[in-house]
Amino acid sequence: MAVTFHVKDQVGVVVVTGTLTSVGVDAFREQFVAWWNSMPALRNVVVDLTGVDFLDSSGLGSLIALLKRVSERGGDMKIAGLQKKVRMVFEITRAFKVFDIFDNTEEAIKACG
Amino acid sequence: MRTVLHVGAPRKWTGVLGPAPWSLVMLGNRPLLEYWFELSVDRGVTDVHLVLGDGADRIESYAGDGSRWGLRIQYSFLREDRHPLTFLRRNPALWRDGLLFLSGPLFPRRLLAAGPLPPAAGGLYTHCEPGGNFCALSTDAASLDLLLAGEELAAGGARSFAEIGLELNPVESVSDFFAINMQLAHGEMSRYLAPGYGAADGSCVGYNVVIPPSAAVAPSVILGNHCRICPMASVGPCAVIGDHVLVDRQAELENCVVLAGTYIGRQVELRDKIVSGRRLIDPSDGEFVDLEDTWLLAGIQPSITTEDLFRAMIGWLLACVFLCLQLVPFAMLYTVLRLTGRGCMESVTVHGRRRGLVQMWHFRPIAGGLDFFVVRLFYALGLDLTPRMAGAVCGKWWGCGHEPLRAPEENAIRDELTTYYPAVFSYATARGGSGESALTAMEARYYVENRGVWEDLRIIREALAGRMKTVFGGVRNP
Repeated sequence: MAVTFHVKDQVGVVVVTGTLTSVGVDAFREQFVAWWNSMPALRNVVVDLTGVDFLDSSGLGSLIALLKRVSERGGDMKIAGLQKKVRMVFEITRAFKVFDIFDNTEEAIKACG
Repeated sequence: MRTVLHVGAPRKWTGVLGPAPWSLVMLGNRPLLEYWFELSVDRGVTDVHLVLGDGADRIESYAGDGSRWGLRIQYSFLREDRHPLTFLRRNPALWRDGLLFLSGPLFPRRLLAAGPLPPAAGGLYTHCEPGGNFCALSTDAASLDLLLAGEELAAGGARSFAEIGLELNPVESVSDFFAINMQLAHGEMSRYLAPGYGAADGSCVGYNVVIPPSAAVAPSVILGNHCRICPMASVGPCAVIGDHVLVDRQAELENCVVLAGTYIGRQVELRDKIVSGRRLIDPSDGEFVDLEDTWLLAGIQPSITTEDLFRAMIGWLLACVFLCLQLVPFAMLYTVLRLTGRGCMESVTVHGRRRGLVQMWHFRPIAGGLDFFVVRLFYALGLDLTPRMAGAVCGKWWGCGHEPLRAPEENAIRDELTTYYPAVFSYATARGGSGESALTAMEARYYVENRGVWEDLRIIREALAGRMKTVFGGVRNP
């Protein structure tokens, strides 16, 4: 799993690639927290999951933890670009009721504005 | 009239659902093949020829000799590169009195609630698909000749199955599979089930299904046998749930197919999906994901519990002790019985501990042998069980558990059991002999639910005490 961070239109964009499972969630969470703390002006975040081909309950849990952190600062977190298998997991766990999900990052960033 | 079902050509898409070949995929909780058997029975057919290929062992294990449907099933093979009609041309005389022929995965959908209409005399009904799936019904020698010549088919002159109230739907993809299941769950299932099984609201519920009052089951649904719906779960409308499915609390199932032996986790929401164990399948394109979180979806596999291990140890120790005590008497008395011609050991085929058949030695007294004191003593000392005892020491059998189920007579019972413990001592040995298959099935189910160390010891005690009583009073139905 690989994670990159950048800012576009005052929205933090987290791009994740690979599989988001129990093996890599701790590292993912730590990297996010370090980056999030270094960007005190940021409020909204878009997590781009276009490159994630599989995610399990740990991965889902880490996304919920991210949402909690972002919400604590008064911002919002949106998810973009779910692949089919990941979307199926979101559907059966009803995670789509927790997150705002968009087809691509551009739409998600626009919605943050 | 005879039926020929050519079910040997493999279909790759079935691999998504599990290891079963296409003829055994579950439509409305019943294998596709079963619909064809029942259609044959409706047409008055007694002889069915199954032309096998892919998954032959599974199909033969399921269909057996056909007596479950009142049919006589014969098995044949045809190479994959041969045209299905080649089989019919081998011996046309067999089909002159009428023939129902199927090649490829077609579902015989009944258009009428009362069932299909009788075919017209001399009529030839055919259904041909571009992919090669083919079905034909000929009623006499003349129409058979037309079928075998293939000219009528080419000219398109044959009648349609719709004239007799049948629509042949292809099952060529996961989406076909899902669509037919949904069709059945929408209330069509009652066209295929005898009164007493289908409920008035179009739902079909199998036996030993537990639905607490707080669970919501919205018709119409098809629920298999041995299902558990936990409190506050919601099932339906339009759900096909296979056998041995556990739906945990607050789960919601709608427009979905859940195959046998699946656990649906707490608060899981299934809509427009197929689930097979931990596999979640999208019916629109067959794409699937195997979930690793067993709290979401899981296969309910036969599990060996701690108590089972304890039972296995005690059973093995007892088998060792009994074997040591029995070896000398067995050698002496069996020699006497063989020399006097009063009885002998014979090999029978039974279902083993793992999936598959094994041989078991079974003592059979020769006619009049039961009047012989040595035979009664042989039974009383449990020496007829000595070969099985040796098997238990070697790990072939459990010490105490199920009476080994015979193949193929008791295949249906074996298929129904989620856990199976073929053993030396069983309820059958405790009551002094095997009984009817209904009794065997009942005891087998009872043991699965009530097995335990104390139950095993009780069975062994009753078996030994009962046998000792027979030494002077005659053998109880050995």
